Amino acid sequence: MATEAAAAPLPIPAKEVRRASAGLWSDAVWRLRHDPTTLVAMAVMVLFVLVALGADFLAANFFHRAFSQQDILSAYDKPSAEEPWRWFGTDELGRSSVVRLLYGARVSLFIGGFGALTAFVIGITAGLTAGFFRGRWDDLIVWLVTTLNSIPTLYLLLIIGILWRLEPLPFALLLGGLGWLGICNFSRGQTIALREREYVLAARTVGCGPIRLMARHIAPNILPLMIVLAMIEVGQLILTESAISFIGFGIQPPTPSWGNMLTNATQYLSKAPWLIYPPGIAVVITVLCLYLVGDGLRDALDPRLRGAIGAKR
Amino acid sequence: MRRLIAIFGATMLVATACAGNTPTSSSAPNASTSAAASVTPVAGGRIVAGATGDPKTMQPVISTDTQSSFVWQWLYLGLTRTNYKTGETEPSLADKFEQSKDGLTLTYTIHPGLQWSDGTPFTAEDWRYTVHTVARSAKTVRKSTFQDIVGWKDYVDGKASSISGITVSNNGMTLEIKFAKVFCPATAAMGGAGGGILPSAAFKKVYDPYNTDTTKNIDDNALNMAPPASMGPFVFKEFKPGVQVTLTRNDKYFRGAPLVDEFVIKVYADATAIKNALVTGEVTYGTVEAKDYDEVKKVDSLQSFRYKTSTYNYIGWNAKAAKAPWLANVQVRQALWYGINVDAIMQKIVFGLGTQVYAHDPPPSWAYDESGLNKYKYDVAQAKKLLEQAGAKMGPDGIYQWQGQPMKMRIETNQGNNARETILQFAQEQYKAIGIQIDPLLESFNALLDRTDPGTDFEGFIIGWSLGADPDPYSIWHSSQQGKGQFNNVGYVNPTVDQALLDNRNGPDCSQTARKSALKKVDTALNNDAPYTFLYSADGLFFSNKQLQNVDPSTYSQTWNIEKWWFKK
Amino acid sequence: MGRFIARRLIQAIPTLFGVLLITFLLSRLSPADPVKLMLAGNSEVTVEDRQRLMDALGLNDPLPLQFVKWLWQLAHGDFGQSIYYHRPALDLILERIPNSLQLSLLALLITLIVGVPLGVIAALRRGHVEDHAIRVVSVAGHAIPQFWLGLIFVLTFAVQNRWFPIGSMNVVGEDCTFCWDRVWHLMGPVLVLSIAGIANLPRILRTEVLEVISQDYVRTARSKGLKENVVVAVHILRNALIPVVTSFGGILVIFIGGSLIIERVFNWPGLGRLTFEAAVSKDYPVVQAGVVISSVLLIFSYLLRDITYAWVDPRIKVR
Repeated sequence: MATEAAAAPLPIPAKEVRRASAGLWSDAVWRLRHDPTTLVAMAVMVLFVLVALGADFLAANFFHRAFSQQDILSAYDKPSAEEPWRWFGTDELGRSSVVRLLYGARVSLFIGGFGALTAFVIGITAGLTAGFFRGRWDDLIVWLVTTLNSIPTLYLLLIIGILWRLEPLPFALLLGGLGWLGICNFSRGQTIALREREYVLAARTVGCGPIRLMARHIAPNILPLMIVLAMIEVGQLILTESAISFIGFGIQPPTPSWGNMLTNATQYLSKAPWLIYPPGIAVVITVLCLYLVGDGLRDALDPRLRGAIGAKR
Repeated sequence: MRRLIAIFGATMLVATACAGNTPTSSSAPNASTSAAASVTPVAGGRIVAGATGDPKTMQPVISTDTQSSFVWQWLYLGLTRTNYKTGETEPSLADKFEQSKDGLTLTYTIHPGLQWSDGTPFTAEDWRYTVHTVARSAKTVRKSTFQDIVGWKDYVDGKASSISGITVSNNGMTLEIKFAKVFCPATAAMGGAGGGILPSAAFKKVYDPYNTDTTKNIDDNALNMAPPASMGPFVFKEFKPGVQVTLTRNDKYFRGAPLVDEFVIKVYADATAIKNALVTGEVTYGTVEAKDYDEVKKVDSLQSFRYKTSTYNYIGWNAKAAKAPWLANVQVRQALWYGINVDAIMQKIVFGLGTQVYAHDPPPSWAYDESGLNKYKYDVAQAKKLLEQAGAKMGPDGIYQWQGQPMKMRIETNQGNNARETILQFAQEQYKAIGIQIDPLLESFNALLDRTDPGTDFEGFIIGWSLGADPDPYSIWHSSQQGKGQFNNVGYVNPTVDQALLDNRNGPDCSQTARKSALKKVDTALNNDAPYTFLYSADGLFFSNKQLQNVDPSTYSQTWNIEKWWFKK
Repeated sequence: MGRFIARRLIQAIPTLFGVLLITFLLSRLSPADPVKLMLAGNSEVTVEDRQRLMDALGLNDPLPLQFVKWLWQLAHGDFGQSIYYHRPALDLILERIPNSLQLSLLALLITLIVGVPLGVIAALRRGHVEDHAIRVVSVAGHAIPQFWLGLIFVLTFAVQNRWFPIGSMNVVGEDCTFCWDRVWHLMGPVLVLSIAGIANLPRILRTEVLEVISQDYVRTARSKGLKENVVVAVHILRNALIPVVTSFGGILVIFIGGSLIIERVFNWPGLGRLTFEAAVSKDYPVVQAGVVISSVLLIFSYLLRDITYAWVDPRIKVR
């Protein structure tokens, strides 16, 4: 395993005098408040999520256009300010690019979010239990992780993609089912280290059962960092989804996802170049923001651990 | 600080995204456009064509896909060929061909002195050999072409060691074929022996069909992927899977050795990649999809050609679909035709680069006649009326119900064909407006062919036919052609049509007038019964490198004179 | 060292077994009918023919027995026959591996050549413009989908401006490997492939270098009067490289997995494209073989990484 953060603490230049340390979370919040970039990224993310959730509402009341609503005689129309649904232009079937972007946000964010959540749950459970109980169970988990790590994800998704048609929900579960490895490794490592700490040993002697130990003593310590990893995972999954859609095995049209919108746009590059910006920019901004938020959270939660996470992989 | 990230990132994005402009014209020197052929052709150079996949086989008998036929067509020819413009049958390896007055005998006179590229003489025995291998092959789809030859059935069943109706005489220079029934398309269909004629001398070494053993055949042997000899303009040199097939000039080509040195068929991921290759000059000639026509036309270094094709696209409705019993009802099918705006398809998906069709025979065919045919002009009210007349009742969710079951069905088509994919999505929305729910499915071409094999497990499908010059729709529309591997996928049964198809095929009056009238009956019935929603015949959009001279593509062949093509520097 | 290598090799066996098990299960679970695929195009197949073929393929045996038989076949190098090409699947794969390796190895090289200096500079100039700029590059490289980058590259640099070829390994007519033509064709895909690595590496390296810089022994070396460069090169790098080697694992996954996308975009006849095309045409033997072989490659590279790691950091061997 990689080295833990055993470095001598760097002398932190005193920025401001602030109140005494009051706990992990309030410390974190304080640091975040003074970190503008992360705050902006968070705001953008919240905005995207709200817009995605409100896709139905916006489509009906503001754009007056469904995402699959075609108007073939308006196909390949340039973006115009005439009507809201024309803001980003139309595609090859006269569908509104902006409305599709909103629904694509819903699909892509859902897949990314739900997938990461699945990965998070599976990863933490597997890692915690493996690190805590050791023995046979640990061996099994480690074997499973190493095995899955050894199969390139895209190949695995390829096989699965040709066998079954993937709707957003199963797809998200599948991606989560393949993305929990990093989280598991990390939580396992942390668990192994933590279980030897005094407070855990103390709790044990008092007679705490394993579940209680894991849930109340170990988990809270590793959770913050796991959350960071999960956020970064969301971005990764969105990228994976677009890659799979690109080779034709992901979300099928007419359901829009940023991935298949990108692929479609490249087909019509000469006829409708405006189609490629919205999904592309959306993906990049989303992944960027998620990354920044993850980074910022990590720094906020404990600057000293910056090294530990960076080194592990 | 991190602000930089956001700004820089955004700038990079805009920069990369701005790349999507139309290609700037290349700096090729202005080629002289003089029509005068006063310039002397120069030998040398390499023609590169693009394909979207490797050939499955290089042997015509078992070949079923265009990627394979695109390779062997350069090596294995026929006794006759189709005129590239008119579609008439004209001599190729045979000098003369005559049909007897009663239409039951066909005689070919082979051009004397022909040689395969390996030096062996070409005779009628090669043709005879090829047809025998078709008879015994398990993988071929060409048997129906020869089923009317005397002695065919006995041979196929293993009761005879050769087909009695085929005789070779005069030192292999004369070929006589006797038919049990008059077979009107004979002169057009026989010449190619189903596709291309094999070199019997070389193939006999791996398979001899002149016996009663029906378990052996030509389907699996090494020569299928390594053609030993060629009668065509090029000879097989090598095959690198996933990369290219290389052919070299055949000096013994009977029309004269080609001027170019090599012909390469290069594999690309999809039609868009081939288009890019065409634009950058990596590929010498090719056709493009309708949506790319405008873009490629702007490229300076290419010249463009446009012609009608003997093809058409359609939506097929499986009358035997287990999950959609309403497809067996003629009014429902008519409603499906009224319910889709084919005009809009012509305008916005085909971009006017094609002709709308209403029946089977495509525009270039002599049997093409759209007079009196129902044009099924887009009419949502009419569609709904027909549905209700047929017995459909509107359900609470806006979808019609058929005997209590919501009218929901699947339409499938293949990925990689841009027009079809777009039509599929278009159809889904159009049919929603007339109260029918469509479940779209995109799959690989092979999977599509597989799934739409005559049966009950599919409903609607979007695909196209590429037809030969001689109109013989028997294998597509006759009620007997609904078996596995056959082409009447939609389960169409109409006794009038059956009879007309046989009249067209087996005469006994094989005059064009008689056949035309029979085919008109077929087309009228098809137009009325709507087993397909006939869509359109796409124009051929052909481009070639301006330096390549003598290119003259048309409906039935784009490369008929490839031996005369040469690169002018 | 030898014992370490042996031990690692033995540790790799259960992983390999796991990979084979998963691949086998996935293909057997498919609702598609392998026999139908093999007989595709055959117009006169009877029920008896099918049964005969299924027996011959062993598809009527119980699942565990099928698995064992399959393993036995694999041990003899028999990965089955490609349904599409009618050739042994293994041959097809082996033909393509060198092509894919060219991409991966070169991308790794570029990642090192570009990434290491960037990481070191970012660390040494911490807090300054260079550090931030490099961070921007890293983060941007993370967020842009690889296939999109590839597509834009082809469209901008190959189609619009003919600076690069649109794909393939050589121009038609050339067949050379160690020539400028091949290099010219390699540049596009290698560049796009290595972006992922260049995004990752500097960040990790920077973290490690920063940690090492503050170590006592570095201060000692400095105070001894060694020249700055020497201090950096010898002491810092040597220790910072350890986690860099660890990160190779992650980078290699990206390369071997990402090659599928890149090979498709750049028309590169490698393992990824072969597996993809086989998947599309439902050529199961080739897909299976592709997955197994690429996993083996990955396991092998993890092994190499661990061995290098052990060689660089003597403390590991003892464990």
